[in-house]
Amino acid sequence: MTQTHDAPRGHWIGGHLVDEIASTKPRPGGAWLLGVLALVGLVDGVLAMIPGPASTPTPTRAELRRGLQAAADAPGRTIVVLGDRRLDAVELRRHVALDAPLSLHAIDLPELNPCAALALVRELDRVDPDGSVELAITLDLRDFSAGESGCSQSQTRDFSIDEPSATFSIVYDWLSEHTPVMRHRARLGLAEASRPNSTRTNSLAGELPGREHAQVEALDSLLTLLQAGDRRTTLILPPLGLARANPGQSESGRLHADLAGRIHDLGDPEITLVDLDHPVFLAEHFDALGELTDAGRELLAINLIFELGLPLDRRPFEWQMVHPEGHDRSLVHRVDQGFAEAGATTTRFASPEGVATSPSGDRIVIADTGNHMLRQLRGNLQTVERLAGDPEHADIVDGPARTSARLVAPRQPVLDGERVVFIDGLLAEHLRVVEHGEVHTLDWTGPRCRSMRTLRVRRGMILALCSDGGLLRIDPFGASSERLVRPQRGGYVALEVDDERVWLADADAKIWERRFRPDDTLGLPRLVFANRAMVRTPEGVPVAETLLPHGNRIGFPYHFDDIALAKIVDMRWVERYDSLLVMDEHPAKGLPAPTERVHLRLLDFEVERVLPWIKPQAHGEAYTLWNEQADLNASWYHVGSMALVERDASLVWLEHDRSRLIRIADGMLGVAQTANHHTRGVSIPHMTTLSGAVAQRANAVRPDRFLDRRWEPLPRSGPYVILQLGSSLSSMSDRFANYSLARQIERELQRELGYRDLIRVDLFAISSGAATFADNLRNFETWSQSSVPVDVVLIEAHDFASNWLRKTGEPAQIAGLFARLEALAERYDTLVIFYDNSQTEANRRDGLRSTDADVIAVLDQARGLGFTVVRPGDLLLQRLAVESPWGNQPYANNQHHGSTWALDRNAELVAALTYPVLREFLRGRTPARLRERDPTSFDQTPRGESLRTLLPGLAIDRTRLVAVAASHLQREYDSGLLRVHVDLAGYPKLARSEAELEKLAVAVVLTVLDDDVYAELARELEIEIVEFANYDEYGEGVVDSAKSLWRRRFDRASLDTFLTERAPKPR
Amino acid sequence: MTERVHLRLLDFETEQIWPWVKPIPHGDAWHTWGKQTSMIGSWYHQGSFAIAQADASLFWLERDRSRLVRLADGLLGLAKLGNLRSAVAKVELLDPIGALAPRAISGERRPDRWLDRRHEPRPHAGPYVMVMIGSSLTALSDRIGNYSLGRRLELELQRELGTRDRLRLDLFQRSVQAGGLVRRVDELERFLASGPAVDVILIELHELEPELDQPEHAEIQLARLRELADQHDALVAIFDDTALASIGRDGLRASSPAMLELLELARDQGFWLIEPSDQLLRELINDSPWGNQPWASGQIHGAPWAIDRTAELLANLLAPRLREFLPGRVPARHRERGRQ
Repeated sequence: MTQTHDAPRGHWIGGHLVDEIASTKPRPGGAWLLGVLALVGLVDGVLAMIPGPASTPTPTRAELRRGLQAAADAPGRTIVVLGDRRLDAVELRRHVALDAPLSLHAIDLPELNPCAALALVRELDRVDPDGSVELAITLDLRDFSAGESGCSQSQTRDFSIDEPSATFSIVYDWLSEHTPVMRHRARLGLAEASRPNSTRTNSLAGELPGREHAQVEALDSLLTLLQAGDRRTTLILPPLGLARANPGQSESGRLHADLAGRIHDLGDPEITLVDLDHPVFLAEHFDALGELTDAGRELLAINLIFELGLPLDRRPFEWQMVHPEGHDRSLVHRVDQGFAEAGATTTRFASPEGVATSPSGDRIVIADTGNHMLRQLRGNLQTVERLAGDPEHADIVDGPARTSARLVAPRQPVLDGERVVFIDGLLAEHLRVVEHGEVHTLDWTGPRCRSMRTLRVRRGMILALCSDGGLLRIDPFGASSERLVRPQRGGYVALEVDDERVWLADADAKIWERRFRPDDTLGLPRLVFANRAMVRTPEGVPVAETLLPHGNRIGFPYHFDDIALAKIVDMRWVERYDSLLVMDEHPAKGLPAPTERVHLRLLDFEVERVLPWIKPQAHGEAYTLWNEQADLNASWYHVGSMALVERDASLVWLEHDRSRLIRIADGMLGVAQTANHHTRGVSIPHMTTLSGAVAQRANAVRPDRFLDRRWEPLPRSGPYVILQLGSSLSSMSDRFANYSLARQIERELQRELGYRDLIRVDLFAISSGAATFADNLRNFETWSQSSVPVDVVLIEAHDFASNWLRKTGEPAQIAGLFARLEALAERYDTLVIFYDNSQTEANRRDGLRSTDADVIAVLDQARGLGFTVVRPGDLLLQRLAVESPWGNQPYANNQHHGSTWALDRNAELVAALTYPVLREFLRGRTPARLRERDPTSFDQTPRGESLRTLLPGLAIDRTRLVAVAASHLQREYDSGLLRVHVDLAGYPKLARSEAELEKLAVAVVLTVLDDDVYAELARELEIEIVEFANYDEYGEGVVDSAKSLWRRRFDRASLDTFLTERAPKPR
Repeated sequence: MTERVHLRLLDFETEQIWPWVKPIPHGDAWHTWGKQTSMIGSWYHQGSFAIAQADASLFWLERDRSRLVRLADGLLGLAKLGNLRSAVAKVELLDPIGALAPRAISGERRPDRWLDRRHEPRPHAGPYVMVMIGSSLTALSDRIGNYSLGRRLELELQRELGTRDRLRLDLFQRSVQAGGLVRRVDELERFLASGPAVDVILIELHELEPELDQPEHAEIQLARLRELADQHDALVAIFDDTALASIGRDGLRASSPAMLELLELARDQGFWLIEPSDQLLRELINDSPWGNQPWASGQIHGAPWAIDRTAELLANLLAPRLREFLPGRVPARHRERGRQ
């Protein structure tokens, strides 16, 4: 119908005729657009109703770009995980502690190879140019196989919008995201409806191909890109399961080692390679196509989160972890020997002789003698790489180290900056160097020796100890040598050097010191260790007893006159302790000789004292065991080589007969942390030689000074110090002698706090026989005078023969102990935890009995004072059904300590019960040791007498006091102030006048001072008399209805005045 | 002392006396010596007891602690033990249970017949039966006598499979003093002839018993093992226990070429092999030594913590496949001919 000009211009709208609205007038262009939009919407809606895959498994380019942009825009710490193991951000986040401030993003592709990773990183660099977003990228070794040589277009797609060619891509991406057909292409079958199966081959290249391989070229570009920026990047080798799919066919690991070499050659600390291809991933963790199952992905996620330095939401089982929590690590651990490369459980060595480390400990070089190779670990020390040589070709050939150079029997490497100097040749006659990727054999004019034992480097000069006992100084640059010590029969066998001196050990295990003169020749020898205690059998064999004297009150620290050394095989100067660490190899009877026969002795020449060097163990005897068949004092250390990291004094130990390489922290600290108990009441062959005396001596040296420098594979806050004070119940198990509850608690807490909170704790302990509460306190006081300030003190309570409260049973005495404890704890705001260990005690009978009532009363009092108290007895009784007995037969005289499993379960439970408290307490805290003060500065602080001491001086007629209703008193105590709230509901007949309230206050004060547990501690008292307008259903006053009628705060002087003036006097 | 009640089951017909036990890792827990009291200590403390006739579970109420426990059939407990009576383990009493009592009770009474009736606080599928045949390394720890790898493994597996999969697994352990694979297969044969039908067979091998001086002999034994397993459609796992052996020195050493050859032969024949040594070596940094001083003659057995760690790892290595193998399976016991 056509509208005439005179027709009314209006419409009925809502029952009213309204004027024509201009906007309602159809306009040809707008109508078309609306129509199109409506149609598009309709099509989109219809397409959305077509059943299809729940999600598009392969992200589009726009989705990828958006994902990276989201990460770049996220506030705070942000990590993007680029992978292809179907780990999405939700799955990963599920394993991160809930309260961790973190923005976690994941981009998961069907196959992420270096080409694709390179494209994604380029885009990330564009949107996050300052590198604030951290990266984790999986690298699949299969991508370097021969069949994987190309980078497809989809892999190399360039995300950059800075390039002209990208404009079309952006338009295309926009359309892909917004047009119906493209949006729903998966439903229409126009896109991959499911994730494509892997096209990767299941065999690995023998080695990393050259740059002609597109993926290698992309990898190099990726590494160059990463190195150019500041982005923290973790490259992850995910589990492949190849060996699991083909059991028995071991991979050589060369490809992995080559890749590690390529990455570590960058020398960029921001780029790390993490090896997660590990036996914790079992065949069952892969499906038929070689993809990780749900359980496998969960395992990968847990390990990935851990390696990224993030807190886990729960503590994993140890067997789930590729690398367990802790500052000491087994870097390589295979029981067999041979040749294999790369990982901790794949690498095999063959009779290695010598190990060296860089001063910072981020490089370890191994002389893999039997494999004719030098090998190395760098960075995070997770991969063993080739440094020089070939396992299948023994020869002396110079040239490129990893390819054509050949070694015969490399030994005793030393590092001089980046240079590695080592001995080679069947007779150890060659001196060779690896430098800038090349091996060359040194030649020089001047004295030589037929065979060399060991090397050191000083000021660029090589010191070579010859097998004939002579010592050469070789100038590798001037190609000349000089003899420092002439050869001699029965000459020197071990060498150590610092800037000023050399130490030379001879075949009789005597040690000589010679100082360098200004012209770098050596001064006269001075005998610094005479080995005077040595006694040999007629056959010339050292008597085992002299190598480790033991007996009642005999043990470390030994005087030089009291202990002998059998055979010195190596020495290292420990600068931080001005002492020499000596490897002493003990003889053994029979063949094959046990390998656990090397003892480490730290010699302090100034005081002529010998200390051990240990990692503290739960089994406190682990360093001094008796081997009856071999007539041997067995050790924790096996025959091998050692190196000491200059920066942190950590020990790198390489075994000769297994493929085992470990790194453990400062051994003096280890001694300081032990709490062994020296007692005759043991059933093992030796009385311990590592008693509390040596721990005390080590603590006097204060090895904790260096705690901040200790090697931590992953950063941890702290370390915080816990001091455990207890009796032999916390340190012994009768059939094994020393077995430490402290060590097991430390292990539990290190795992719990380490995995979940990224917190490191170190536990020191003191064990005294049948320790009383007072003994514990005295030990704490003594400790506080000279040892490391503590963040937490764990105090054992027990009821063995009523000892814990011996001579301190009176309430005032107990209160006095608490007062002293509180004063000590105040110094560094130390958290005090009491643990009831009565259940362990098994005197004449098995343990797990009820705690003595007096002990419980004191623990209740401790709880009331605000100390933490844990009493695990009842919870442990449940375990007795399976873990029995709790003690050790035969329950002979003095044998009343727990079995090893009882101590283990105790430790687990004490740690579990204290963990929540510790976690809250330690988070964000500055370690006490960083706030250390002169102990006397605390002692000079006036503390004042307790308020209770006022009472004897006051004359008061107590019969005239208002009767106090104890049920209407509420007390709070904190740091010397006792607050008492008085509810007037308990005094219905009392008038509310000031005078009456004062009378009540006097009565309350005296009642509190008479009988309150806090009275001995309180130095201030606050009394508040309140009246409530209403009460809850339990009869408790409702706080918001309280009205304060009378309130006073007293110190000792004002309280004295108040009571003198207001208390009723005797008539 | 309150731990002085011993439970004795008197069979009037045969005039035999049996102990009534719960099988736990420390195999000597039922008979410990109290030197100061000149008494044989027991697991049971003075108290009262009752038997639930439906499942022969024991209620034990202690008099001096507030403790009430419920334990499954004590003869079943006995039948599951793999104790050994060995003089090398330096405890005061030679274990009176030893290897014979479990074998005998299994054959004579078949306490496994009532496994389905056992009280389970929450329902679990099964119970499935696993038998572990091993040497003294799986049964002893020199300083404390019997300390069982098998029992610790059962605890670990029961927790893993019970908590996560609602599966119940009962491990019967049999220990042979020496003799290599042939002795283990003989023992398995005896067990299957008299004991419950099994779902899983775990065979322990170790370095100290070389087998391959006659390779054809090893092949025969493996074939016997396969045949026995097939009779019950049982899953077989063989594990290399060399790590626990510490003869004259500490443990955690490599297996000999002969041992590796035997393992390779077994692998070639399709047996499931478990080789935990390398992973265990990681733990030596904290748990040391792996054996027990003084390594006197015959003292080759692991420390209790070494046995614990080994069991934990074995459970971790076994559980995923058991998780695949057991669900939905009719326990072999139910398919045993003439069982009822």
